[in-house]
Amino acid sequence: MTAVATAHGLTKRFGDVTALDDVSFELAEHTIYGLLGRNGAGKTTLMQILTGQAFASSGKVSVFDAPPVENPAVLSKVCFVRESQRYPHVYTVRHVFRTARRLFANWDDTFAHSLAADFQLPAGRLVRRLSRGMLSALGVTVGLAARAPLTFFDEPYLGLDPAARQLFYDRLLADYAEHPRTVVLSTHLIDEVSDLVERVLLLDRGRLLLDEDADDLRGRAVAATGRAEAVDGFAAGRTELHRERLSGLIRATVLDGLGPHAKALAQTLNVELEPLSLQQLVVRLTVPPTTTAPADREAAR
Amino acid sequence: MNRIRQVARLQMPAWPQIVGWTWSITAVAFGINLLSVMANYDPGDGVTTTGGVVSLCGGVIGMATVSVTQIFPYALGMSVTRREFYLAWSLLAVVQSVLYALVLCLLRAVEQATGYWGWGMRFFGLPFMDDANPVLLLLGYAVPMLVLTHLGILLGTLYLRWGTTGVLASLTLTFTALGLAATLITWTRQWHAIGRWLLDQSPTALLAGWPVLVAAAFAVGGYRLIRRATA
Repeated sequence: MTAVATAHGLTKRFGDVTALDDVSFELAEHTIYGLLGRNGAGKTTLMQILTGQAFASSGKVSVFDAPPVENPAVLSKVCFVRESQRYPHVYTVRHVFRTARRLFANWDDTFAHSLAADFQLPAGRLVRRLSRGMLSALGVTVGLAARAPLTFFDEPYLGLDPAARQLFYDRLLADYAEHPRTVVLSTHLIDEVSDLVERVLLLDRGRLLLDEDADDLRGRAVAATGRAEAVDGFAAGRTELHRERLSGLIRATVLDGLGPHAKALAQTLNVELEPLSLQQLVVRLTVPPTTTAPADREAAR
Repeated sequence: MNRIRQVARLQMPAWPQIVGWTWSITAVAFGINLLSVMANYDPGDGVTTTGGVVSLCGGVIGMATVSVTQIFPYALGMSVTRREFYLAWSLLAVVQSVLYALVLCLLRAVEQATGYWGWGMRFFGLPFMDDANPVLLLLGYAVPMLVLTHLGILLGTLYLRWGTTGVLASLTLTFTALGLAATLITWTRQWHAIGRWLLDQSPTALLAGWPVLVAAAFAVGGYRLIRRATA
């Protein structure tokens, strides 16, 4: 695996707030990453630091074997599409395409225009007059057509309707197949991208909770439903993330419960197993322990 | 250099507005000046110097500030480094200053040819420039423009780093420092010496030499500020 970016002990503080706390990972060449986590988990900050837009408080970041800050050689291979990207007041969609063509070495004008047509972007309209969805479509178009070897999409779907999002995923996959690169996709619509992403980075309150293959993660957690003693027996020795009571039955979310041995055990105990989707797993992992659902409080009594 | 030129072109879509607003303000000032000169006209008065050309200053400073604050966040998003952005904007400052200076030289020539607009109003020319040769005249307009543009860029970078509070605090500090300096000069009875020093300077030094140093100081300040700016 060739690493295009590495972070080591990366920490970012804003006054009292620690936005990123000792984060270490590598981004491999030609891989699509899902950067997941709740609002305020540190996703945007992480991408800003990797693209030299923000400065780390401590730790080491290296992109294409060099620090990204103020490094034209590195930044020429990087594109960061920010959800909150600000555009100059006087810019039209056409101006954005024109400037992108001059500034991104791999820019594909034909591709950009075909994407713009797909998303029905009005070339002559001022960017500040675009709707929320159109603004997202503009960002997505720039990010795809720039064909940067390392591309970050920060919540690119905001305001896009489901059809437009599907269009984005399709075009991303098709172009990725022809022009492999490293793509980092930060998103809350985890189930939508779960077939797209190959590896998952999960941030929670500034800490890196997971850095795993998406395929492995999909099989990691199960919901085990059955009578209390049966579920207890199944969950014994396994990590339990969550438990709720459902009309006399107990449903527990358990890690590593999908192996052949686990399946046999579940059958013996009459426990029903149901694999958890990536989104459900992320929710279970990042919900703060203090907020307990009513069902849980009942179960705890 | 090619990259710097490409980055500088980020400003192109804004040019109609930048040029339009700056010169519209000056045109309005010109009109009002001319009207008031006409209202008080007395053929025996000779030529009145209004110095109205300073109305250009506000536009030049303001447009430079707006251009930095508007386009920097976009440039950063397009994988441009802060250094590239600053060099590009410094290049734009030089080009714009020379172009504006050429226009001012031309307007000054028209002013003289038309007998000061027919009403004895000197708007674009300044009395101490009367003996200047063409090169010095051009520099005399271009270098102060460069100072103003870099002041505008500096204010823009202050805004990028610390927002409105940063700009206002810096202006307050500057006015305080200048006021205290003036008080100190009065206190020590140095105004006369300063006046003599100014008179001893050559026109070249006054119009172009010292202002270049001021522009350079602003430029260094802006560069240092922008290097740590975030969008």
